Amino acid sequence: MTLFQFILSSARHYWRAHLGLLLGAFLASAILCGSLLVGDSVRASLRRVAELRLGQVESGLLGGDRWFTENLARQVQSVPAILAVGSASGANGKVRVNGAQVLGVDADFWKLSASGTPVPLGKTDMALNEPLAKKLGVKVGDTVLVRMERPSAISRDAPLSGSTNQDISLRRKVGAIVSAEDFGAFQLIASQITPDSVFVNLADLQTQLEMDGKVNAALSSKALRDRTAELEKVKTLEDFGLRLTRVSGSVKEWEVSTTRVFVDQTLAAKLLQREGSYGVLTYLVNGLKSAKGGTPYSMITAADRMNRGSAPTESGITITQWLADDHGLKIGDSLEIFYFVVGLGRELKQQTASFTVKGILPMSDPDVILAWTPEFPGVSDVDNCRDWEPGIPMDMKAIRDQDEKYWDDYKGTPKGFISLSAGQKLWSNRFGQLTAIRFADSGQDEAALRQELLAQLTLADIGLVPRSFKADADAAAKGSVDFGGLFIGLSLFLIAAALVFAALLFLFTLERRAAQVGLLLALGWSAKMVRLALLGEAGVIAVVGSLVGLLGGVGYTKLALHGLSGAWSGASQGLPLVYSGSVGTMTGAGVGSVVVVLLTLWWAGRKMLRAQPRDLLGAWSAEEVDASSSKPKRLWIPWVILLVAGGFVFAAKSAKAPEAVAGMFFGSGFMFLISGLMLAGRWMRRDGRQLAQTLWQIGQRNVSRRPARSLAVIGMMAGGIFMVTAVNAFRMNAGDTTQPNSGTGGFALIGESSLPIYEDLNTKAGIDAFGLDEKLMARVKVVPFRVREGDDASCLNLNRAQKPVLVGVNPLLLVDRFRLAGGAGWESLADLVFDREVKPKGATDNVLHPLNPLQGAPVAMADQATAMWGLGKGVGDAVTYQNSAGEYFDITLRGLLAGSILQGKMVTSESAFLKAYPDAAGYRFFLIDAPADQVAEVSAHLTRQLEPRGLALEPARQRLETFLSVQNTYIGIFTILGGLGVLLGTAGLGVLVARHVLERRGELGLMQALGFLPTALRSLVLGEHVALLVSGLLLGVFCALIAVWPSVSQGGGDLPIAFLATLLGGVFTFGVFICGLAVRMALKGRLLDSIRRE
Amino acid sequence: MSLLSLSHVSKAYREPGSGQLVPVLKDISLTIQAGESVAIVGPSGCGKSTLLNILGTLDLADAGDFVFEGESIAGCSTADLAKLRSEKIGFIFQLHHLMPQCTVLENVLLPTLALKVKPAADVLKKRAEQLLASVGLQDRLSWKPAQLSGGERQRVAVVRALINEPRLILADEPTGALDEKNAESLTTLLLDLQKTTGVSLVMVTHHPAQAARMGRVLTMHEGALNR
Repeated sequence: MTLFQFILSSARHYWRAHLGLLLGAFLASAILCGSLLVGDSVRASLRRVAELRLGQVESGLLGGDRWFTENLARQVQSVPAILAVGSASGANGKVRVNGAQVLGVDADFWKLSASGTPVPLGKTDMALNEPLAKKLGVKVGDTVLVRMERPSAISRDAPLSGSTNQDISLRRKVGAIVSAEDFGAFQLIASQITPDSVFVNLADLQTQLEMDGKVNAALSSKALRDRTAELEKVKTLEDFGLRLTRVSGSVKEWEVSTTRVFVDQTLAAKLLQREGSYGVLTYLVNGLKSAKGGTPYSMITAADRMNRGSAPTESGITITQWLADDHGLKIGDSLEIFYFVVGLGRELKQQTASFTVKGILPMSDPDVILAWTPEFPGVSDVDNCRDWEPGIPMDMKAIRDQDEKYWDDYKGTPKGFISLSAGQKLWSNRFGQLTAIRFADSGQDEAALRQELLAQLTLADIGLVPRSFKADADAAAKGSVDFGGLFIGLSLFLIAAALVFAALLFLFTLERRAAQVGLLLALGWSAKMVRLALLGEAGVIAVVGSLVGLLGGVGYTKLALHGLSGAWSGASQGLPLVYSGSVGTMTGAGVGSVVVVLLTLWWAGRKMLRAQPRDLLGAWSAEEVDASSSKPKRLWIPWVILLVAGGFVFAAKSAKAPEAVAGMFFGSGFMFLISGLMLAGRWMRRDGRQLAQTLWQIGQRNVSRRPARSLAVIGMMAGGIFMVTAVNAFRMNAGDTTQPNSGTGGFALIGESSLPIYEDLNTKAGIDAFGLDEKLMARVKVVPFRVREGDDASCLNLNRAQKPVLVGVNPLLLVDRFRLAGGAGWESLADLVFDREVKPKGATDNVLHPLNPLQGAPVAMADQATAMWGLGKGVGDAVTYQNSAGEYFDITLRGLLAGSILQGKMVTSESAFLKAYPDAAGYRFFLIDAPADQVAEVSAHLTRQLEPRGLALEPARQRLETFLSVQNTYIGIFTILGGLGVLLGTAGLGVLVARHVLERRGELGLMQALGFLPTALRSLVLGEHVALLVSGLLLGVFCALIAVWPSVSQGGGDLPIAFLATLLGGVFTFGVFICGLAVRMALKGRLLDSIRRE
Repeated sequence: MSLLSLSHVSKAYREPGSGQLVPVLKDISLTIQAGESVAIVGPSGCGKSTLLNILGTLDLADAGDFVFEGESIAGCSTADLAKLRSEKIGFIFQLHHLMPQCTVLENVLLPTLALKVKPAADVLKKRAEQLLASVGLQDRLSWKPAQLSGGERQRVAVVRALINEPRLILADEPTGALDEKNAESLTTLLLDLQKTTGVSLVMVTHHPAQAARMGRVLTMHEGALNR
């Protein structure tokens, strides 16, 4: 016989005794396996969503606001597309969906979908995806109106960028409704939520947007990163927005200009490396004024070549004869130039510069030509000065007849020339410092010259770098919320209950076989060998239980997925869940549960296996040996724990953060529980008892006869009730959201617009631009944010955000808003900071002093949950972004906000944002302060007036509650699963009672022989166990009440009181019932026979 | 040649509740020769079983020295003691303590599992079968203990004690649970086996007649040996 054979025969012989262990292993395995399979399923669902949203798209180019030639995409076998944002509404206009994805696509696009099914799109129709069609309530054949912004080559924040009112409307019939499989789920952002999408014929959209031949995205089923060389080979100057023209002035020259008015600094720096090249900066000034006259709206060019050999001076200006005549100027006269510069938004500041006339050029001079002037949108393309729409406020009355005449004769020909350095000092901005670069025309072949210029540039210079969407999607899915771990955590109490149940029943079996253990030890078996034999025997049972449990796990998973798709959908946030279970996961869960069960049994049985063989041979239980020999030790411990628990409650009163208060009360409740159990144990082991003279006193003795066993019952009940109830202390509450330090920052409304809003809605210009009610807006304050699109890093996104949304704001507008969870405050983002120390007493405004602006790396604030869970970052950690020039840069987290509506975003200062993304125009995210009694009115008014921009507002409190609902759903799941655990524990109590009573049949038979009635004996045994049950419940409720006291003291609105009350009632009723049943079953038959057997 | 000797051994237990020490063995000194049979008699509670436990290394003395085959067991680890028990000592208890899940043959072979160095499995099996045949159980090899009579179970327990060819057999009231006939028969069997195998036998008993059949009788009273 081998040890293994011995183990197998023991397992076979004692299988009935091990049924509890089998059930425990089954439950542990089922729950563990089920939880892991939930994780598998969520991951598989996310992968499925990623497959649907990307189809066969592997990589691509994203131009964003930069448009490149359709040909560039086609040359590398990619599919050109337009990605834009707009709003969509049905023909009746009753339902409007903001933030819809507008896609300009051709037939090749559909070949990239998961199904590859073509969706033909004519010029008169468009296709909608299913979610959008459902929201609009439209079907094929209905008409839909899509409103979107006409793109501009230049940022609309840039000076002289033309009018901001460049919306277009597309009214088309719905030609098809696209299913998720056919690319209805297409999006490049890692999110499980399908966007609302409109698909428009590419050529049609290009025409409507006046972007013929241009696109802003290229999608490929191959890795474009491998084709970078090919891309560089086929790029054209048009892809950079550059134009190459011959200029005929006093000398023959080539000019490189841009459709973006200002040449990108990176490109300019490279192009200026060409020998003999020089820069030109031409600007539309508001006016020229001298002592003798004034001229409105004129072009002035800054170019050193116009110094004509003399050294450039900062204050000298060469003017044209026309201007000299207009003012009667002569050399040496002073001339003032008035011009606008643009602030952070489109804020305009008029500034003045003085010059001295140092030369006058006749109008016939070959250099007095229009070629110096770039094409300013809204200016260059009109016939009449009075038709100008340069995007700056103009006083049309100031335009005189001679100005119109000049426009007719010379168009935008500059009226004066200054040095480049002087011009750049006045008009340099974040969009560029030059409007053209010129160099000598020595008769080069234009095509060759283009190639020569292109060789100096790379697509990365304008941020056109291939992106691996598939790899990003994989990383996002891999790093997604680990629902497996989450569900193990949520089911932990249920697993623990199953293990305790298994361990207790195993211990019973072990106790009954104590003599066997003693014998084996006496025979010379080492303790290790005995342990191995017993655990091996349990292992056989655990393996069988775990194997069957795997099947149970599949059922558990399906139930959990059902819950996540229904009542618990707050945790899965709209993810369409599919079941997926891998053999690997199931094997892991099976092995894991066997190991966990065995470790539990080893831990539970270790005390007995330490007992002496002589004691075991005497069939004493290890517990009795221990109880008889040990004296109570460290009597002070429970009192110290009670003292610390009281201290926690006291300290919690002065804590401010709700999490800290909740944590302290929870900790206090837990310590009360531990000390309560310790004191109960002390009571059971106490000496010097009074003489037991009644049946109930005998019952009391029975309760304390096996203290560990009785404590296990009390502990299981108390611990279960405590855990299930107390965890609700961590339910998040939006609190008083009118307070600036609340999660809303005190803001009443939060909003996003489909199209950027360029105007400052706090100013008269903003109010006028959208026809807002000045009186209503007087009490409203809008904090606008610039937005760089990225992944939503909030808890609403189950994917791991790879590039979270970056927003830029003036941080001084947020000082004292929100609550800091760690790190530095809003001031730390500012170029200028409040200096509270030097704030004069009684001053109404804070005093500002300059902080070395942007000397270090850019810094940001983020919501704590976003940083910790969405990004896995903390204070001091950096997140890498790519700026508009294609360069990578780090943004360091300086501070974390506690539970805020800014979840999912990295918030940096507007100046840092614009430094990285100078082209990012306008604002798309808003926090709005409004008087409490006018919130609805303000919301309705702004939504109506800014409807062309697709502004959607919601109460900030509502947004906060949406975020909080995720954590609260997790707690809800834990409460329900924990409740099941408590009920399982209660069922275990029944088994314990039955076993306990069976062991005592002999003594109960004796008591019957002594004259006690069987009914009295049943009541005695039942009473003993109900007393334990009630003690456990009372202790648990008391400690749980301490833990949830902060919530209870506020009315307990967040607590699932009905569920908890039902649970308590259910546990008590079920407990009494199961104990009664156990007693009845164990004591059926003739007790007196038990004496005879004894 | 002496197999073992105890010198001035004493043992006390702590009284539950008061925690006071209660002496169980007082200054016990004795020597047992190889091949000798010894009976220990005395009233209940006089320390017979405790003495037997100390001889079987199931318990350790508080004071005094215990030498087995010329070597003191003082300072031996638990593992050393387990090895000593498995190789040199066989136990027979008042209750047979047979494993209900194992057959008769398996029960007999149980102690062999503890041997670090052991003969081949077929050798052990043959030895077990021969021993079982010698006690008349050759037809019960694959029976389970539940299928045996009380006397048969105790005979299996005797064979189990002999399977590892020990130097000492300790029997704690081995006939206590048997009727007179079976008790007499088991004592005869034990003495026969002791003689044929040359093993030393120490038996605790309440039966003066059985004690008288042993080579030497030691009487205990209140923890001390009366010579």
